[in-house]
Amino acid sequence: MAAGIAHELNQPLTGVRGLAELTLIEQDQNWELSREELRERLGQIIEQADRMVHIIDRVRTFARGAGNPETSLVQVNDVVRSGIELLGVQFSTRKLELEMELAEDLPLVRANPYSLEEVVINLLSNARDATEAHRDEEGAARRPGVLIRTGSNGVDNDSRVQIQIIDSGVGIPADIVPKVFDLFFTTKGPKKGTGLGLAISLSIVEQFGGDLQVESMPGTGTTMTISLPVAQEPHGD
Amino acid sequence: MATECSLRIMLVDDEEIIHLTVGAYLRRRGHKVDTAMDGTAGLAAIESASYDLLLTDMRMPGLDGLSLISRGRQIRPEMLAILITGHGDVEMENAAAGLVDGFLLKPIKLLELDSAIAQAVDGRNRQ
Repeated sequence: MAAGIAHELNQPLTGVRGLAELTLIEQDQNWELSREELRERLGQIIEQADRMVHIIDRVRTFARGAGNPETSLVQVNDVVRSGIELLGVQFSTRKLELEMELAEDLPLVRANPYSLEEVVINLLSNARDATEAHRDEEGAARRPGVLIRTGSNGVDNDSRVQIQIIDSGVGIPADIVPKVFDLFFTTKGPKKGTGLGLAISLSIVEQFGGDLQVESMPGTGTTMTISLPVAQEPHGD
Repeated sequence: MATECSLRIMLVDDEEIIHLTVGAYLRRRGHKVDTAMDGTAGLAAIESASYDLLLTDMRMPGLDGLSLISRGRQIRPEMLAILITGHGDVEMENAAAGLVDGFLLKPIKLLELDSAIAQAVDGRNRQ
């Protein structure tokens, strides 16, 4: 984990160092640097510093058990609808389908709705990127998309509510699957991925007594399944 | 090809900040610098224009630095190549030793660029 954090921080730190060194050399060499150029340079240094702050914030969130520990009785369909409301436009502008199959009379779970929504958004974002990448690489006979589905299974104390995010994306090679929840592991490249999303998502789901499973077939797609225990309190539906 | 002269340099790195710092410094030094964000774009540039020096990061999505140098040399055999690596890439450096004209370690110290380029040019001139 420490190596991952070091690697992530090293990139913006290299930027800060490089920009400062360049400015110092320019001063020493009496190379002309206009007020506007200097201002732009300082802005770039601040941008790199902000990137480091963002990384540290995410690590802190991860370290303290992923977010707000206050829980309440939550209807996961509401969480899913809220997540889709946030990301729906991104799907349509990228010409990707986003379908919803929400089970009726779903039992409540005990969780923090905002943390759970963060998980849904993380998983939907990954599904969106994978599906878009697959469409761009392979072309698609039909409009590619993502299905988000809720349901429940089991009985009594073993009852669980599930949220499944099923994409028609590039899929994950079998040797990569065991690593996807590792902190700072990403296949998206430094511009798009920090390797924090799935690690934080797993941490959040486990905090609520649940688990997060991944099934994938390269070239076909990936299914991520959030499984949460049904709340034992009467839910009054 | 002397270091005092202006070189045509292709800088390939998927971190924009490297373009902003290394690219800006080399231009200040009088070189003509083009940049690319990945190996595929860098190779396309090498196909369409002649460069004295390819300065490329090793780890990039898609075509990595070593593959870029190898394929770039098939198009421009005379092109110098310096590979930018992280600390601890000893095995990779050994593999690249016969192919490249120099290495630079990240984080790059700008003042070290001059000597790395001079050594690469001098090495080639002695051949």
